[in-house]
Amino acid sequence: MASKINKEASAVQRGISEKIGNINMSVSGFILGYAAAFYLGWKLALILLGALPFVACSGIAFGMSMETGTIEQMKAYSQSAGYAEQALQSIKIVHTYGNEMLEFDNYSKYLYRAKEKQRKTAVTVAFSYALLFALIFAFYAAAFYFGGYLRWNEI
Amino acid sequence: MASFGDLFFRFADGCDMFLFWNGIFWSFLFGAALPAFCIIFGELLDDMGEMSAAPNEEAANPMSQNSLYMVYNALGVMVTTSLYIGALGIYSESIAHKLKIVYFTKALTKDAAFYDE
Repeated sequence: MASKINKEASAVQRGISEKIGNINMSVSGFILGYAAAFYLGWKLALILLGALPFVACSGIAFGMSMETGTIEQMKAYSQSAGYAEQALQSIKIVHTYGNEMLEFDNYSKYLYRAKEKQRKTAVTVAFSYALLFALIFAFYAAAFYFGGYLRWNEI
Repeated sequence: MASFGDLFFRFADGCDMFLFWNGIFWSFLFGAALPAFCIIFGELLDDMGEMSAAPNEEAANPMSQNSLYMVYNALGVMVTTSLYIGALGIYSESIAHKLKIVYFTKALTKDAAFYDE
């Protein structure tokens, strides 16, 4: 119980320390970045505003795949974890009756489900992360191309 | 006592090793993407200089070629990132799965004195 208090308090503490500053930094960077971009060159900024939905969508997809993956995996593992906890709590009874193999079978019977879930999560996380990175690089290219285009055609 | 290398290799079968070395390989290539980006960036700066020197009578935008290379770089990043994260994710899950089984078996077969501590 004492360790639980400490664990949850430090979770709250981590949530309210530099994370608030990080969020504030990101929001101010976002707003001021777009403000400066529109002030300095509104045409290019308008074109590159098209990047926003793509990047936002892939970012959300990345976050969601991480989150649902973790929850699904926890859920899939909970049955095996329950068996393990049960066996280890009354380990002396298990020893007395020589039921190690039974407990082991109980534990490993549902373990593959967590593995399957994690495998799916790895694939979706990989694709959404790759998409996010590729979009950032691709929109750099778009920025250079359209910047050059506007300059070259004297628009 | 398990060494650091044991974490990677002790529980790995052939498929795991394939995934592991794939992850190493593709993450290496992903690391090459940023220097490549910088090189293309430099080329684009040269194109900008060219643009300000020449009049705008030619049809083609001088920056289009290197912008296209940058798009190819982005596609390469997409392929390498998805491959290395996917490969290492599946590999690590496989190792963790085997580790869970071995850990639990060892814990079950410990002497009762082990649990009295």
